[in-house]
Amino acid sequence: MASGHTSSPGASCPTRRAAFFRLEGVMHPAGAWAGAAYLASNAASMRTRLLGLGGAAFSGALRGVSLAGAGIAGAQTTKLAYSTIAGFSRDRVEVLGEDYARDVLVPEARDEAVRLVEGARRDGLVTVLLAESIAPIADAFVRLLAKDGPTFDVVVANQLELDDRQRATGSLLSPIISPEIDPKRLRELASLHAIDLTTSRAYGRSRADLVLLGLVGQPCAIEPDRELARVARDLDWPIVRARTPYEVPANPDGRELPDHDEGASL
Amino acid sequence: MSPFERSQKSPLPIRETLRGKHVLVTGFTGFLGKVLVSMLLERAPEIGRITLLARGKKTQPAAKRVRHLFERSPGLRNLREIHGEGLGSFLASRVDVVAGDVRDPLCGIDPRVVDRLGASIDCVIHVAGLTDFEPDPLEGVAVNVRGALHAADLAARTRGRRLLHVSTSFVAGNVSGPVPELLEPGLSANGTRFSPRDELASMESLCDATSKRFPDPVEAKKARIERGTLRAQALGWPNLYTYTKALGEHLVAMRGDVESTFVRPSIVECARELPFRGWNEGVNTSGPLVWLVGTVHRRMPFAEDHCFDVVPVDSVARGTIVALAELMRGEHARVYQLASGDTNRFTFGRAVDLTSLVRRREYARSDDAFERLVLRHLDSVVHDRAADQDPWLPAAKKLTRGVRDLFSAFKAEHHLPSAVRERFGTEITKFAQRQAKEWGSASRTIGQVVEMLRMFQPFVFDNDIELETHNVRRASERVGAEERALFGWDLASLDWRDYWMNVHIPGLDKWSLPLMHGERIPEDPVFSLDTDLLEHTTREDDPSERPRALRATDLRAHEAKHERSGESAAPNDAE
Repeated sequence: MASGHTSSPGASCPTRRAAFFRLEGVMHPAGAWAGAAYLASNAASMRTRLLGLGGAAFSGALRGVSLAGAGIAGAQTTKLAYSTIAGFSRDRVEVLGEDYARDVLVPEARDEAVRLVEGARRDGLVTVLLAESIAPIADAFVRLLAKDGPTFDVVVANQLELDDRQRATGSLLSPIISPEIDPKRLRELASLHAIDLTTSRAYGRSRADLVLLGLVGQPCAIEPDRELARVARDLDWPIVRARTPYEVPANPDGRELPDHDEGASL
Repeated sequence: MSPFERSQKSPLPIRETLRGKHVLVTGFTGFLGKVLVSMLLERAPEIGRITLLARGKKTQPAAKRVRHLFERSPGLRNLREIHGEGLGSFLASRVDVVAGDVRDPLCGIDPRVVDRLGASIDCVIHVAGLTDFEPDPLEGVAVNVRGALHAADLAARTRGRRLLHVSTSFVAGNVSGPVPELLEPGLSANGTRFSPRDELASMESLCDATSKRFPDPVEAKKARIERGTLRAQALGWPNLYTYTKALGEHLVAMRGDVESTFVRPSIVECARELPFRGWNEGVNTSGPLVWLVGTVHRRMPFAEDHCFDVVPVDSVARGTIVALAELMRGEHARVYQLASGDTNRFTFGRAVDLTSLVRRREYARSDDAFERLVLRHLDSVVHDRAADQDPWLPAAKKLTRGVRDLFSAFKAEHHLPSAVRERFGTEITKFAQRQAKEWGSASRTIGQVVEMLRMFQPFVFDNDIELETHNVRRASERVGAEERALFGWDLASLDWRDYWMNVHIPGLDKWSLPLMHGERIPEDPVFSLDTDLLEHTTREDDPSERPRALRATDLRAHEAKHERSGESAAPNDAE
């Protein structure tokens, strides 16, 4: 799994508990295509800007279609979104990525998600951010969020392929973090960081997060879409909503629920 | 194994080498000179004495000028912060001043003073020079060629007989590819064999003949520049600056009476750390290029992948001190190139990209709607086309001049109906006058940039040189870890993005670019040295004529006089 780790204990025995957060959807409402569109709209050349914006918008539309079950792989939409910044210098990608994180992601980060990260850290969990966005955006988000808020121990994000002149080729390095998390890659990540998935938490927002939520012992839906909300209710997963009274799930198997702050409306 | 090779395996203790040594520095009042001296005083206070050569004026003796710089120059702020009220005493124990001018024999120092001072001087560090790309050859030869020879004459009459000569990497001339650290007197940049002495004589006679032919001084200067440039280009140097610096090197290198070493910085720009992050002085090479990126002009006439060989001024000071230490120990190389291209290449394409990104961020927060809505979205791109083939800037110059003429020609009594004139005539006339002034200023600035780009073309488009820096890196490796942190060559680890975006451009915005708009750079707050600097004069032999004490009251009176006359109290030397 492509990753930009901020800590790596290297232990192989799965003893640590973790809390997994998706950047897109959970921490911030916008999808990865929005970040690609931001970058593309700030290309140096006008032609690249127009083409890039069109490509990123098309990728966003495809993503909607794919979520509607049209059979388009989420990874393809991610690839398409970031193909629009082919030719960007590494400097431009990293600077604009930071601008996007500072001007868009951090100010609009979901308060309830931020509080859940804080809570997880207080509980001594390893906090993991899974980002479909590219590493410059995810890393900047984590760095800027940590100034006044919680930090993430591990950041896993997509990596842009660069050519010899340090320019983006428009491709992402494999393996690609797609909207649907690959279970095999997640287990590898957990193994690398000695994380025990069965006692870990994960937060998801859409149907695409079902795989992730199904792999951990303590799944939780944040502002879920209709389909995830239905599954969460069926499976008694906690649901976090910003402005509605929280739904208290039954806890028939006695699993420990995520410890939510008083600030988060559960 | 030669003695030189043997010495290269031994350590190079810089502070120990400089302990108790006496050096004379020319060009202290310039950009590099200040940083070099402040670094020596801050990081190698063991040095015995530094004698600063400075030009005196009728209204401002040399010691007063130097004192003023120590009191007010931002470039020496670090010393004021470290020593506070005790700076005067510290300087009195380390620094003295001698009046002189490198254009004059023995740098304008009275031979009796030379004899007295020379008995203790271990090395002359010749930093002074003209850095204009197209100087009047009369002045260029006088400062960069004769000045170097005068510094060598001076060094030959000192105890140490050593000369550290600060030149420029661009003496390499019109070449592309790796440039080794070599100096072969009599071999020009394009490989032509020539006699440096005859070349100097013929350039001086060319200047004389041209001056006689054109009675009008302006015409004469223009003709001297044209003819001198042709001569420089015939030998492979792109302009009079590199030609005169190279000729100075060749002539000094031919002398057998001084031990000399040549330090060749590339494009000297904002400080990384000393005197403080971002400090710069004057308009250097990158200033106009950075300014241009912030304007509506989008297509930069640069070669995208060519090396933009920038070095922070304090890195140059580090390299110079390392070279000085090797020279003092007799373990020096002939040439030290102080450049970044061979270990940490920075390109024009990257510089334009980073500058655009900085401006983009600034304009996004600007109160000016034009900047926020238009300029912010006009990122510059490198246009692989030489400046002399770019039609846009000359067209912009014509356009702005045309608009200025339109506003200048506006007369309320001719262009406004009487009803409007009576009601708004005064305001509209004032507005037109203001606009005429602003468009005129824009036109002049564009004209300056066109001219600068033409002069810079060999460096930003024609040539792609990669300056080798083996000698300074080798010497740095000899320096112990503790001293290497203070003096070692540090460019391989430079993060260009951080330097360009967070150090260099903010530095240019504060210290250089206002000069392009005719603004003055403020000095630091008033600070008064509690002790006077000694100025060496011929009268020192007579105790009753000891150097006149420069009291704070004198300085204040002097400053007040300059403020009244509007003259800069601290003109800068070129380097």
